[in-house]
Parts: sequence; structure tokens; C-alpha cells
Amino acid sequence: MMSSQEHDRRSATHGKSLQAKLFAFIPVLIFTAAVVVAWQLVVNVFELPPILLPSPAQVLEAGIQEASVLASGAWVTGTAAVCGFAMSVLLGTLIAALMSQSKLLRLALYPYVILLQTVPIVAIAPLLVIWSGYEFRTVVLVTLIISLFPIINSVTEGLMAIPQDRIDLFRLYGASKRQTLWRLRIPTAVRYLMLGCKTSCGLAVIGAIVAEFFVGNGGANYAGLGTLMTGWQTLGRTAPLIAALFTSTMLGIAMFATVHMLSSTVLSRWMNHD
Amino acid sequence: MNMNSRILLSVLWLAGMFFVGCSPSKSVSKTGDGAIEPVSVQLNWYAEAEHGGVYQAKVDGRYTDAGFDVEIRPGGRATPVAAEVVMGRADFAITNADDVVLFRAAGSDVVALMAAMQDNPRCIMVREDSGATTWEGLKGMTLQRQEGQGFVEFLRAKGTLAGVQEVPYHGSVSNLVSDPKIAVQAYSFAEPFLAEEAGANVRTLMVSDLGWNPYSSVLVTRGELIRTKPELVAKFVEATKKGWQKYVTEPAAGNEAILAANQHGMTAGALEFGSTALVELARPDEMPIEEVGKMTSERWKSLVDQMVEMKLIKPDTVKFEECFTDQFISSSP
Amino acid sequence: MARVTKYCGRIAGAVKSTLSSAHNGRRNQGTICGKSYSRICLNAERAVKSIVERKQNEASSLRCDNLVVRFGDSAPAIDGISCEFPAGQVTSLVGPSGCGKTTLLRALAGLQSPSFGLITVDPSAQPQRGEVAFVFQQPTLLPWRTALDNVRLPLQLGVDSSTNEEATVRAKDELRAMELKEDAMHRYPRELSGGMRMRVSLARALVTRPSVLLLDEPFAALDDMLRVTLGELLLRRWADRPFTMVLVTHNIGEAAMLSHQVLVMREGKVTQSFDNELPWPRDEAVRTSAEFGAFYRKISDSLRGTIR
Repeated sequence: MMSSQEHDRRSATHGKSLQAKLFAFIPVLIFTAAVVVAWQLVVNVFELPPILLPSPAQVLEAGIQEASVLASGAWVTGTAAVCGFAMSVLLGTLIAALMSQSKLLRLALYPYVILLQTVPIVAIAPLLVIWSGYEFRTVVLVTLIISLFPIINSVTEGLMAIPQDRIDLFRLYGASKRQTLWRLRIPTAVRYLMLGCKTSCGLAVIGAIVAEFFVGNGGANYAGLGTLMTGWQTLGRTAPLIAALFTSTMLGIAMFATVHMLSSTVLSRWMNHD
Repeated sequence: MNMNSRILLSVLWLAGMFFVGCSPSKSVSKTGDGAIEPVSVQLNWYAEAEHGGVYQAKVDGRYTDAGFDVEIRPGGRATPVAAEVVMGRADFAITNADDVVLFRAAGSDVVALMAAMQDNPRCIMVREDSGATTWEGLKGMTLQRQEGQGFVEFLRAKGTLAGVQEVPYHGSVSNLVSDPKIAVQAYSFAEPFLAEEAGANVRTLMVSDLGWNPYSSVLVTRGELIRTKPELVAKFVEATKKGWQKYVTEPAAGNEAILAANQHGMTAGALEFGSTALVELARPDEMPIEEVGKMTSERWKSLVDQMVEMKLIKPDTVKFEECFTDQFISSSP
Repeated sequence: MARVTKYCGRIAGAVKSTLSSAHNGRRNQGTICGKSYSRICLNAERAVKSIVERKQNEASSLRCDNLVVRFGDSAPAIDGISCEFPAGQVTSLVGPSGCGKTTLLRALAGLQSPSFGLITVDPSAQPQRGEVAFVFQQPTLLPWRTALDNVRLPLQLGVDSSTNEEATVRAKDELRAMELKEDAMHRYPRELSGGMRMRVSLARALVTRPSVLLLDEPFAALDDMLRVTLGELLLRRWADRPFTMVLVTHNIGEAAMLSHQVLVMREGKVTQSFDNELPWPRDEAVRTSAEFGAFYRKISDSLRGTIR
């Protein structure tokens, strides 16, 4: 019989009550309000010209004015970012899987993986434009390159950082390399992949915007956020520029939130390694 | 006074100094007459023929004669001219008339002082073998242009860019040289010569032909400087006008200075041709040399009206008479 | 000179294994020059017999001959052990930390290749997967699988050709035998207490009906009451279908209560072995008896280095 000490442990997955979740937003809102107030004060006290720093009210007004343009811009940029990000997850996982299986491949490929991280995109983008043209795929390509490194890095680590006991377990039962990959390495790596994704999705948005600086709209009917920002900067219209900045931030946050939600719902059982 | 009060006072004093230090107009120091005043001029592009007058004036010693130590700052692909001037990091700048209107619409108090180019050099450059001989021929081509520029809006509004793929322009003609389907924004007296030197035969389509003709190579400053230091502004305008007058007749020395300041692929040959070609725009119809740099209310008014019509600016946001002042240029010899 | 001796020793070992395998048809796990190999030498009769024997899940005996395990150039973790783990019996390994008991266990499991010497498993025939089961010090459950799925894992890895339904049934049986409630079977490891996790780990080890069960201080992280409970549970499972069990433990009382034989180790060697004459079944009465106390003292004295 089980001892009395062995009663069920309180489940770690007891969800926080809805009330608690809502209350968690309050500190953020207060802080945001404080930042906005400080911003307005700075503009007033230092009498800053709007071309340097418009007031929060001016930014809001510009944002409302340009709302439809910003929305379509977010759509264009967001599509490129999501495509590039998705491709980087697929490609990155594949490369990491290959690298985890063979030490030779690891040694051969890792310097190039690091190259991905360090190569200045400002130098690569014009080259890509020459090779791939002023197309949507060029924007996606740039985004892919920028988002790839965190994925490869984290997934490789995940595929290799497995507790020795578990590897022994699989050895004992004579598991084939494929079985070990599928039932042990990949499930372990999921958590690491999610970690990499959280970094990568923010980079993907940046990548898409930077790509638009070089590629333009890439054949889309609407201007992306990068194009809009370039235009407004040239025109000296800082208020909509800052509004575009916030929009791109929100885009990044939306992607991050999606990844987070995915990892805490569908993928939750692979996330906690104890 | 006890320790606490002293500390409080020091903090307040420091804060006060901080406030003072942050005030905009920093660059023009308050020296008396006879001393050399440091003055800076911000260019809106890499140093090219369109800035010739300024370089000529410096080389000829006009600025030193007037008591200025002038620093000419070349710009580039995306120079924030308005910000530089308004924030006091530059005292003067060279830009285009339509930019002045846009800056004012955005709330920057930028005022034009003189316009060296009476006619606008803006054009679209294509290769001879691209097959585009007229504006209609641009269809299906890829145009490299700076997003946000007035002339782009103008061409779009006129429908000239329908069917043209617009892509960013990074300041180099190399793409056009290698690809006949590329069209590039240009100044008629600059890029075409560079392209020819690189081996491409080109043709230009002048935007002014379609009715877009703002002043160019416009010298601007911030309104506050005009109000507080009119003598300084007057002397500077006078010296710059002399520089332009020299540049449109004998540009050799000025070109040398431009070449030295341009790290962006300008060549002596292109400059030579260019400085000859721009005379046409600076003195159209053989305008007398005394009138170099002049501006008229009519042109400014029609520009503002045109930009309102194109929906580049909202109506009643910009008063044309505030965009410029001809008090200095008309009183200069 | 030392190297020559080493070489001679290795050659001797190899020759010996060749001779004995040719003669007896045992499965050998030996080494030549540090590389491990499996040699099977059967005649047809023996082959058939051993397959029949295997099907009955008969326990296997284990034997070490001159086993040496060395890591790098440091002193060997196992310094020449020759001992026998009789078929169907429970042997306890006790000793201070660092004496090499875990290394020995891993070597027996095939997770650690010997630097020298032989490990023999009897009866013969190509060992099938799952014949040797191991229980780690930590429960070593996969966190993304429920308790039930964890127990099904060895069967899913193809230890034997059971279908999914059969695997589920067998897994549930084992878990029930380990006294885990039905609803706990569908929980994830992080939702289970330490004791429950260890029950799952034991169930997983037993689901393949192994002929050898090796346990590396399985109850070290649990409290005393739980230790005793699970120890008794384990013994009851063993009684149902006796397998060869090697239990590494710190706890002398546990060693005394659960085993037929106690081996005392120190510094990579087996210093003493005791036959456990305590009566079966090992219940509370035995635990409080005088014989138990005496046996306990014998073992602890041996550990401390005083020989009786």
C-alpha cells in the first residue's frame, strides 16, 4: 500500500485563475502610462521640435491618420516575416538534426553557421537583390538568413544535451539510431527549439523590415513597414515614423505571443523537463 | 546653509546647466565682430555639381573674407537635412524647394534663402537600348527611386509610373549599367555622365517637362537664425551667391574641391561635363549673372498649390510666403 | 615489462575465451586490446535448447572473470573482480562511495566496456533486447510521456514483437503490480511524487520480463518507510517469477533484507562475500530478529575493515 506521504502532489499544471491573469497586466499598464507621461514632459520641457521627437499625442494622431496604410504595411511585412521565420524553423531544424548525427558534419558546418550570425546583412542584401531580384522571395530570403542562427544553435544543443541516463536507457533496450532520434532526441529538443523560436521571431520582423530597405515592396501592392519608414524619414515626418515603429514592435510581439501560446498549449508536455 | 541645502542647490544648479546645455542653438558661438565664426552647411546628397557654388565659395576664400570658417558636410542616401538644421547641428543646408515645403508641413521651421538652380534637374535616366524613348516607354521597367521624394509622388499622381516596378535607390548607377530594364532617378547634370563613363549610353526624361519644376540647389536655414542673426545670414548668402556666380563661369577649382569631398564614385570627367550642363538650369534663357539665386513668390505659390493638389500636403498647412525669404538674395550684388 | 605482462594477460584472456566458447557454447563478452566483441559459438542442439529456455524467461547467471575497468590513466575503477551472481538470486553490492559499485553494475549491463577481463551471461544464445533491465538512481522517466507510456517504452522500442494493445495491457499490469492507481497512470512524471516515479521506473524495468535486473541505489532518494515498502514490493515481484537481481545499495539493512548474497566492495575490489542465511520470507519478524542484527553487524564490520 502506498504510504500516506505519497499522496498526489499538487499538479504543476493548475492554471492560474482568470482574475490572477488579468491582474498581471496592471503593472505593465501603469508603467506604460508613466512612460507616456514622461515622454510628454520631455517634449514640453525641452521644447523639442516635432521632427526630432513628436509628443505622444502627435504620434497617436499620425497613427490614426495612417492607420490603413500602417495596417497594410504590417500585413506585407508580417507575411514576409512569417514566411521567412517558418522557413528558418524548417531549415534550421533539418540542419541541426544533420549536425547532431555526425561529428564530421558538425565540424564542417559549424563555422558557416557562425558566419550566418556575423555576416552583416547590409552587405548581403544588395547581393541577394542582384541574384534574386526585387521580389517577395528576396525579402523572405533575407529574413530567413537573419532568423536562422538561433534556431540551428538551440536545436543542435537540444539534440545533444541529453541526460546520460536516458541515452543509456535507450541503449539498453537496443534502440536504433532512428528510434533514439525520434523518441528521445527530438522530444528533448522541442523545448530548445521553442527557445530559439522566441529569439528568431523578433529577428524575423527586423529582417523583413531591413530587407524592405533594399528590396522595396518586392512586388506587393502595398508598401511594407520598411518602405513606409524610409519614406517618412525622407519626408521628415517623425510622428508617423514612430507610429510605424510601434506597429513593427506589435508585429514582433504578436509573433512572439503566438510562439509562446503554442509552447504552453499544444507543445506543453515537451516543454517541462523537470 | 546646512549640508542638505547645499546639496539641493548644487543639484538644482547642475540640472539648470543641463537644461541650458540642451537648448538647440549650439553651433554658432557668440563671438564679437572680427572673430572667425564656425559655420556648417549640410548637403542633401554626396558632394556633386549641384553643390558647386558652396565649394567654389569656400575655395575662393569668400567665406573666410566674410569671417566664416565653413564646414561643408556631404550627405548621402538618407540625410535628415531638416533635422540637422532645426536641431542646430548645421546652420545652413542645400535642398530642393519641394523638400522645404514638406519640411514646413511637418512642423520644421526651415526657410529658403536663395535658389541656385532655377530649373529642376530631376530626370529619369534610362539606357538607350532599353527602348524607352518617351515616358510611356517606362512601362514594364524597374525604377530605382527614393521613397518619399516629391517628384515620385508627382509622377505617380500623373500615372506615369503605372506598370513600373518601384524599388529603392541606393545612390549608384551600377545596376543600370548592367541591366537595361533598370531606370534610375537622376540629376540631369550628374548621373548620366557617370553612366556614360561606366560605358552605358543613356537618355534622360526630364520631370520638368511634365510640369514639375521646383527650385533646386536651394540654400536654407532655420527661421530662428534669420531672426536672431540676420547679418550673419546676409553675409553668408552673399558669399554663397558669389560662389555660384563663379561656378557657372569657371568651375575648375570648385570641381577639384568637390572631387576631394566625394567618396562615392564621382569622376573628374563627369564633373566637368556636369558643371557645364548645369549652367542651362542655373541661368535659363541666358538670365543675367546678377540674378543667380533669385526666387519669386509666384513660383513658390504655384509649387505649394501643386503639392496640395497632389495631396502631398494638406491644404492650409503651409503658407507659401513663409517658405522663403528673398530679403537677402535681392539685396546682394 | 609491465606492458608485456599486460599483453600476455590479454592474449591469455582471449585464448581462454576462445577455448571456453568452443567447448561450452556460452555467449561471451570479452575484450582484446580494449575493443569489445561478441562471439557466438553454438552447436545446433544447444541453439534449439537455448531458444526454448529463453522462451521460458529463465533467469540467467552472471559471472565476472578478472574484470578491470579503467578510465584514462588513473587508478582503475574496477581492479580485478571475479565473482558470480547466481541465476535467479538476489545479490547486494555494498560499499563506500567511489568503490566502483555503479561502474560494476554498468559493466554488467553492457553500458561500460571492460578494459580487461570477461563478463559471462549464462545460458547461451544471442541475448535479446530487454534481457537485462536497469533501474537508475533517478527514475529517468521521459517527461513528455505519461507514466503508462513510459512503461510501454521498452516494448515500443521493439524489445519483443508485441502489438500496441498488448503493450498497453502489459504496462498496466506492471503498474498495478507496483500499486499505482489507475488515474496516476495517465499523469506526467512532474505530476507524480518521487515514490510514484520510482514505482513507474520499476514497472518499466519489469515490463520486458527480464532475466537480469540491475538496480543502482534505486531507493536512495526516498524516505525510510517508502524504502521498506518498495523493497518488499520488489521482492514480491521477484518471488512471482524469479530473475537474477543485483542491487547496489548504501543501506546495509536493505542489503540484508532483500538478498541471498552480499558482496562488500572497496576500491574496485570485492573484499568479502557473505551468504545470507536469514530465513524466507523476509518479513517484519526477520527484521527484528537477532540473526538479522548479527548479520547486519557482520556486514558493517566488513565495511569498516574489521574481518571476523
